[in-house]
Amino acid sequence: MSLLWLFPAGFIALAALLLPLLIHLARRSEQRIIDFAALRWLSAKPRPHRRIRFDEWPLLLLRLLLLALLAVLLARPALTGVVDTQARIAVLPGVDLVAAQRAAGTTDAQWLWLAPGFPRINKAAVPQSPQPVSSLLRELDATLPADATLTVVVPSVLDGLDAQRPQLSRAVRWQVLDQTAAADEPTALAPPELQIRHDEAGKQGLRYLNAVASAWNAPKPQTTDDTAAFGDDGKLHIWLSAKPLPADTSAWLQRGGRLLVDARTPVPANAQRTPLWRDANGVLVIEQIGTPQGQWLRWAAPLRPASLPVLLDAEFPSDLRAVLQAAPTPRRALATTMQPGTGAASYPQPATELSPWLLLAIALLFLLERWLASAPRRRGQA
Amino acid sequence: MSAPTPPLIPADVRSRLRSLRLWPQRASGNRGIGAHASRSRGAGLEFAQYRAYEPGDELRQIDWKLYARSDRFFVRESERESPITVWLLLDASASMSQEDQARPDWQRLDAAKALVACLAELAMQQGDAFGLIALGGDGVQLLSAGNGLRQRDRLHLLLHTLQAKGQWPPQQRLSPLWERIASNDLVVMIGDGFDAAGIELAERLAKARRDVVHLQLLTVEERDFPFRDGHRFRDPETGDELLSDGATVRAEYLTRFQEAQRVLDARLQAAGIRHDTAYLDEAIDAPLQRLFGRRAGSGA
Repeated sequence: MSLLWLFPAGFIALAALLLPLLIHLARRSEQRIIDFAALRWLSAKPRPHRRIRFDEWPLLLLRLLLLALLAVLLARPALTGVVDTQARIAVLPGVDLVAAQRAAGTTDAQWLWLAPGFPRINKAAVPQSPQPVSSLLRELDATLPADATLTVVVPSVLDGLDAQRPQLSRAVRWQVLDQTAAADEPTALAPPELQIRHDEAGKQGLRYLNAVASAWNAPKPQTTDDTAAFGDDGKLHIWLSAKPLPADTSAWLQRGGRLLVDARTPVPANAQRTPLWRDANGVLVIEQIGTPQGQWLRWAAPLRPASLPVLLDAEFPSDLRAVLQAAPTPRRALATTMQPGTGAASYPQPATELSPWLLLAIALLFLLERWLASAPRRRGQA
Repeated sequence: MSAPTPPLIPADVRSRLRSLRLWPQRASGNRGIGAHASRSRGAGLEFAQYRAYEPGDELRQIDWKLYARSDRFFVRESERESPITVWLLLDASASMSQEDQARPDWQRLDAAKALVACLAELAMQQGDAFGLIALGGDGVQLLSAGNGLRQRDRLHLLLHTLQAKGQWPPQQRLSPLWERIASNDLVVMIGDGFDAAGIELAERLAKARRDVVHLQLLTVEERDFPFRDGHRFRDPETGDELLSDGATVRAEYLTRFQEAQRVLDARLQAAGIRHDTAYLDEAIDAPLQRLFGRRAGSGA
């Protein structure tokens, strides 16, 4: 455990210590006239030289201390290497708390919810149930001190994983509670809907796209010529025209819209082109165009079987859908199989700042100073 | 003066005043106080009590008939037949406005006024006539002697309007004093005792067979000199200023001041003036207890 200063330049504020000293000396020099009838027995003897002398020692010291503490506060003291071996028990929301306490044993450990912010269990309401478990585990592992032991209580089936066993920096006690979770029915991903704008030459590709839509069991594509603007919706927009893209496309791309353009559409000169899909013969079918304005997809060749033989392939609709709509990653797994492994690098812990305690001390000192300064003893002197 | 005036005599002091009696130094002649011989006949002579004889009592005051009956000496005491007149001489010069730093609302004049009120109260209880003469920058302010509650109210009225300013009035303006204060009257002078003219006046009054009591009122600062720093001291009467360092001149001041006090004591003693020194941090009646208390007054 060692002390360090996060902002040592704050110590320049120590120069303010001169202030009360100077004020004190300046106030002393002002002379009060005192009525004194027995003047004739008094001899004139002005002070031989100015002595630096302080009265009101306690008050002066208190004020100096107050200023020094303020300077220290500006310098932001912090402690590093605080050894914290307190055990933490993280409970995934949705786990029965009583069962969790029985399983983990009633130690004096800190009980946390495995939820964003890691709220204390007895101080916060129960968070939402499906949580990104792997991400939260990594975050908790990174924020905890290296010496703290971690116990995680999870139900038998985990949701919100990210397709691999979590790798943490410490060994985790992995408590799996047998809880029958309600079985979710698998959700089917709806096929993308198409919205097509075309010019005269682009018309010949429409039949292939219509065929693709019916192969997907998707609604029939909205098809208009390229004078009509695209609708502002979540559909896949397809631009089959030699004209440049409409002006509002960039904003729509920024909002997450997906766009597939024809091979005849001009590509910006500074665009980055990435091949995305090649057919079995190695012919490029779809490439990705990346520009500062956004990213979109582009047919590598006009939609004709002569230039794109894959159009006639039986697998074309399903292959196109795999390109356009990636299958979701697996998120659910049995908890017993997802025991976190070790080996990840441990993160250095941030230094503990002492500012709250300093502020408290300063507030108390200030109250004491006010009390001393307004004591009746001083009021009598004034 | 500010509108709400505190009572001049605090309640506890008033209760202690009952045990006091103003008595003149010389009980003499037809204007004596109380201790009359049983033989003397006069209007208003009224028997009060018998008292055991004490050494110092005049032989002629002993009740010989009672001695014949009881074989013991008793002194016959009677009510005073002829009250004395008490003159309260109050110094109201500017030096009386001095106060202590520790208690800035209690001027020397306030203490003096309270003393005057106490003395007037005593005189009224005894049936004596009392008058007030204030000497200050306004010259001589005089309340002629009288008796009774209304006289006390007049005195309080004058006291409340009194302010300390100016210097001790010159000799020629003091003639009303000599016209009013008759021989054998009790004169109580209350002041700081720093004015040489005041002391001279006391001596002259005493020489002229007035019964003079001198009450000196000193502030705590004059007694203790608690100053530690350099200060500018000012004489409130002359306006002289003096720059001095408290810590270095303290010892010298104290010796010189005590010497001056000793000289003053000796002067007053030689003139046959009863005197006492009171300080502002004492109870108001403390000097009266020392001068007129039961022990001091038992020799009358």
